[in-house]
Amino acid sequence: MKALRYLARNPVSLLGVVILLAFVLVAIFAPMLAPPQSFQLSPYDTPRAGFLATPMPPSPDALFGTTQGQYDIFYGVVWGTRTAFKIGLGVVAISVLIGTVIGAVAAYYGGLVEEVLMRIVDVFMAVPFLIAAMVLTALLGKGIWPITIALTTFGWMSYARIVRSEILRIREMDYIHAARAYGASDLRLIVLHILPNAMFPVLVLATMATGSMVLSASALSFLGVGTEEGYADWGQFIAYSRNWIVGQPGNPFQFWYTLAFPGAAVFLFVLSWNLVGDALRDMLDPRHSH
Amino acid sequence: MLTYALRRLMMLPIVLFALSLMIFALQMSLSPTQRLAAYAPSPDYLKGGQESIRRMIEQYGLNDPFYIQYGRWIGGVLTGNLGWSETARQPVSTALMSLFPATLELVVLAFIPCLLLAVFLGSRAGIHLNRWPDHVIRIFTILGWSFPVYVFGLLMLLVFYSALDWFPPGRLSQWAQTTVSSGDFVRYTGANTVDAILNGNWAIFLDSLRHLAAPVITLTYVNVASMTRVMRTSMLETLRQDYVRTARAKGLPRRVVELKHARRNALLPVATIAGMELAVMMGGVVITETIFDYAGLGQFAAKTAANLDFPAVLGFGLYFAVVLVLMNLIVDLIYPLLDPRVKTQ
Amino acid sequence: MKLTLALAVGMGLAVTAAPAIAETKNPGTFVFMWTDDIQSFDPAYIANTPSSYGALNIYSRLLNFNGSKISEFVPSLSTEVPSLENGLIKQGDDGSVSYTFPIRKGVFAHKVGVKGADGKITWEYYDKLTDAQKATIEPGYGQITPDDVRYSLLRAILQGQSWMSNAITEVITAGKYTDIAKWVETEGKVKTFAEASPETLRKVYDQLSEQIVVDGDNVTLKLPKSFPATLGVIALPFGTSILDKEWVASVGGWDGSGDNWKAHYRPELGANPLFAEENGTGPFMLEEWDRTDRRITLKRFDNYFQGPAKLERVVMRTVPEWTTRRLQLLSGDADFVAAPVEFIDELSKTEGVKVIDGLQKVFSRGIFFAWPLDDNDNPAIGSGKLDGAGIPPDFFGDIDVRKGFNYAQNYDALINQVLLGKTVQSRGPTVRGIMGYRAESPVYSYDPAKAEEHFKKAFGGKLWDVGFTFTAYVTEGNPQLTAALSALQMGLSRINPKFKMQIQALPWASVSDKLNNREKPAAPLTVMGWGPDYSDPGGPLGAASYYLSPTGLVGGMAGKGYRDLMAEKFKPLLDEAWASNDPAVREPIYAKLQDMSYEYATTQFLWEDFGYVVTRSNIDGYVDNMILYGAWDFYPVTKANN
Repeated sequence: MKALRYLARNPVSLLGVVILLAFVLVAIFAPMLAPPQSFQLSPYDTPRAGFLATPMPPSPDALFGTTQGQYDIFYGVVWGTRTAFKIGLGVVAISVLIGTVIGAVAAYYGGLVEEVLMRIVDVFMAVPFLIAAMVLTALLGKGIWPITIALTTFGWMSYARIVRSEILRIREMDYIHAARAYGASDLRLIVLHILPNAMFPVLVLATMATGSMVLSASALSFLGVGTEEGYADWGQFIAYSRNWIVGQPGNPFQFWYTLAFPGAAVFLFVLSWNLVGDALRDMLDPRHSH
Repeated sequence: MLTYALRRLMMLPIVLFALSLMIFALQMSLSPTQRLAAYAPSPDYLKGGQESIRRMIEQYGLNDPFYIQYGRWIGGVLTGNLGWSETARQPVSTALMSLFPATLELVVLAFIPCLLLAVFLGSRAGIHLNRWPDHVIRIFTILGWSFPVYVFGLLMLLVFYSALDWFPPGRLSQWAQTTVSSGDFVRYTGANTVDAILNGNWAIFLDSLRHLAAPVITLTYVNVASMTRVMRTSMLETLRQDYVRTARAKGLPRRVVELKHARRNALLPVATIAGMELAVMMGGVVITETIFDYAGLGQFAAKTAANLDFPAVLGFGLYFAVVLVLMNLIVDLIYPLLDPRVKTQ
Repeated sequence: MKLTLALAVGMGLAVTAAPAIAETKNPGTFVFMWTDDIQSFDPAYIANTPSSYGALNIYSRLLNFNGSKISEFVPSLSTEVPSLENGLIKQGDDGSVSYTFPIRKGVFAHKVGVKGADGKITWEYYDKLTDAQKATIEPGYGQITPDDVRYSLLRAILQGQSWMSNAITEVITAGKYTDIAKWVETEGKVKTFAEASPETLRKVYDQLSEQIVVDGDNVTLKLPKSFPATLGVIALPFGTSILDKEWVASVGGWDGSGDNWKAHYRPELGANPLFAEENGTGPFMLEEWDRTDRRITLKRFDNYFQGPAKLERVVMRTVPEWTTRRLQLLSGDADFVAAPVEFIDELSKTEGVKVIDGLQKVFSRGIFFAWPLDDNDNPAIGSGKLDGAGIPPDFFGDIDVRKGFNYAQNYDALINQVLLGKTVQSRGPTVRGIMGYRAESPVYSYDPAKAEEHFKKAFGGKLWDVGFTFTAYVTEGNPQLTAALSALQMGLSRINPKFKMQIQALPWASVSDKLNNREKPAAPLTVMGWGPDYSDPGGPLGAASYYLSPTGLVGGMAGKGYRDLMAEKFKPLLDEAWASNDPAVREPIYAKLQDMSYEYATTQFLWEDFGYVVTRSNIDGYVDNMILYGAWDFYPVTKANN
């Protein structure tokens, strides 16, 4: 109820929720919107209309046109929605889990344990991300699983830091002192009282990060360590537009569709998660209510 | 604060050691044949057949056990030798040192406008929360953020190079390069703008600015988003703080409160993020450097990673860790200067 | 806001403004933008085509290729091309063959040793010397002598680093030893080169030096047996490039002694004194190699013995991003750019840009079948059984499977769409221009009915019923090769939906790992290509051997089953053809081998690669030689002023 009232008052946030819901619907109904053909090995393999490199403009056969290598942009954008959710939610969920456990353990035990754990955080912070991603590709091949591992390896540290500092902050608050005075055990305190409160900023951060994971994945595609060739993934489709963003002299936007459709998908996805993240923060944090 | 920062600095060798072990372990999880690719980066190199492949693996000691290979490397590091990079065709330390000024020049030039813009836009958005300046700024920054850098980079090239011919790619024009390469031009720092000033050569100074402009604008736009976000949020928080309300209640003009008191306090979290952002940029702006043909650390790091050129990867990892720690140290040190509440003891 | 405005205005301009016709930028300087780089400037060290650009332009060899002809030679440092007619090739009664090269006199390198008043020798640029100083040049110091020629060949052989230099070892030993280490190991009866005694090393050196002999102004190579491709190797811009011995020794390189050559065997890239320094006799000098900026500057050598080049400077830059290169070409900042194939038609219509296209290459692409496969923890073969969820390790040992695969590929679509119809289907290991090529030899075509017929015969019909699943690998960043697998995948799944070939793109390191240095290959099929390194189809570096010899490149990667097939059916014919010097005898044998590669479906031959060159239109003089893989010889290139 509170959420609905908030949304009614904030049309921009409402817009964010609507876009996000639209993406959810596209993801769910992908098989109807862009039905895979029977000979496809996997629905995520974008069908290609031949092997010509030069993109083709939108036509009745390919609503959004075809990108480099004649991959159908419409199909890629539709099924790419699922990929975006998989990567975004997958990476963020795993990162939050690891980060929370490490941050909580560090804050709970303190002392040497905290010191060691936080230095481990430092080491992971210093791992050059690119290199980790490229070695993983060498080991595991391309695909969303290696991408998820790479992004997670690089992404959990900030959650650990936040959870730790939030726990340290909340632990000193009055109501926790009171609970401790009543004899509640530390573990019970952490799990039941401190952690839930510490999770608010994590939740907000995670919401925003979900959108941006798609961006990181597309940077990986640019560097050649993204998803498999032809895999329905927005980042990969934007990477396909790389050579075609600048058209011929006299007609510089000849291949606009190669960038515009997957680009718009990424933009709206990131935008919606951001708006939703802002809304969540306003709603969850009592200090922020007007 | 200071002791905390120093303690972190003292932990640096341990972090570096752990980091090197970790990267080395990553490397050793590859087979000798995979690691040979650093020395034989395309099938051409292996046309000698299976026998010659075995000889190469032997030559580079790729079959040796972990501790021997690691020992060889760490032994070199302790004598100041980071090893040889096949990709750079030069010693790792030489490569890092010669690329560092180029990247530093680019990053610093991009970072300053980026920070100023972020503070300006963020506080504007925070003040006008949920009104049109806020919406415009949010859309503008998310737009900058949600496209991969190369989209803007290529559009910049199209406009400022192809159509207007103002900002060409590369680091210098051919004529300027000829001058710089000739013995008469002293390369004091390796950063072209600085060297041009030191040599008193204004033509080269302008030429190198011309080449820097497009990547700088691109980097500014792309990186301004996250800092603006933090500034905006932090501005919102501060505006709701008791003392700001008190100041308003006491009848101080709204503008004075917003700009003098609130903005200053809102800068704190931005400083942290800005420090991190600067460190990450110093770790290389791969895509910008690639698009604008700007030879810097980012392109180098990406290429060594793609080639699995591990001596370079390790060297780069150590460099990056040091930059991160130093940047944290600097942020820790300037924190008290920004925050009226934190007094230096 | 201002930025958005500027962008909007700029984009408006970009749409309306016609590209400015640039006046000639950087006159006299040829700006060359590619994506590769040079590994080393030591001609004996390098092993790939991009690296040969350095050696080709900086050093000279005994012979050059005659323009674009791959089997004809012209004199260079040798004043004559040896032949049976002019008596410079002699055949001994014992089957030995000798090649004699008369060495040109009065050729000076870029730097020469000048004796000062104190008796010390300093190295000075020859171009900068006055006539008086030229008189003080110490004889032999920077002056090319027959002894330098002998030294250069010995050095390449004894350095043992690059397979290209090891080719000279094969020439000299007529194929007996593949490299100097093998020779030492055999001679000293030791397991590894490192264990060899100083005596053995000396002995090998002595044997070797008896085969490369200086006699007055001549240098003679004495081969124990015929090696028909000798002149082809001598003309390649690799280890047969000629150095000045005195200069190499002065910068810390090998001094020519038979007792210390082990110290110079397989040097580390950066520790090699010739890595970034040169003293060649070629038309250009290395002015600067800025490895940080990835820029190589070559400067004209005014005293080049065939007359100075037309270009004053060549600047080679590594620029990885295509759009960046393209815009620099259009604005005249670049004179040559490496371009992706899909842009050449557009570029050829662009004003100020010239495209030379459809150049033939000796390089063909194929999909290589391997069997038996590694069945130990190999994800590529799935279950490892013929049950629909995998393939048995000897899957491709069944000839009907191979034939089925070959009929399932859509060659025409690939050639017309991926290669824009600018090349032809590959007919086997031997491509156009190489002996044994016949335009009417049989090739496979896309034929689902025939494919079905063969698949139904394979594995007693079981294959057709249960289907298969496996993974094919391709090196990432190769859209053309990926398209080839993609077309095959489509063909297979349309013939029978149970035929599932997955495609995985991997970094080169991992692809290499699945093929090389292992008992059994892990990749069921790999799409790749090999081209020969001289025009003769036989011998160690010939096209037919690369593909069809059990010791060839493909054999090394395609498993024991493939090698056994080669040893049984193909090797006898290869040996027979190589043993003869008579083209009339050899040609039909190579043609037969070509047919047999079809008959046994040894490989899925796809297409012949083709070359093209994109330059500004004021650039002329490029000569394409396909055995040099289109390497740029900058000597004849001109840049006109508009």
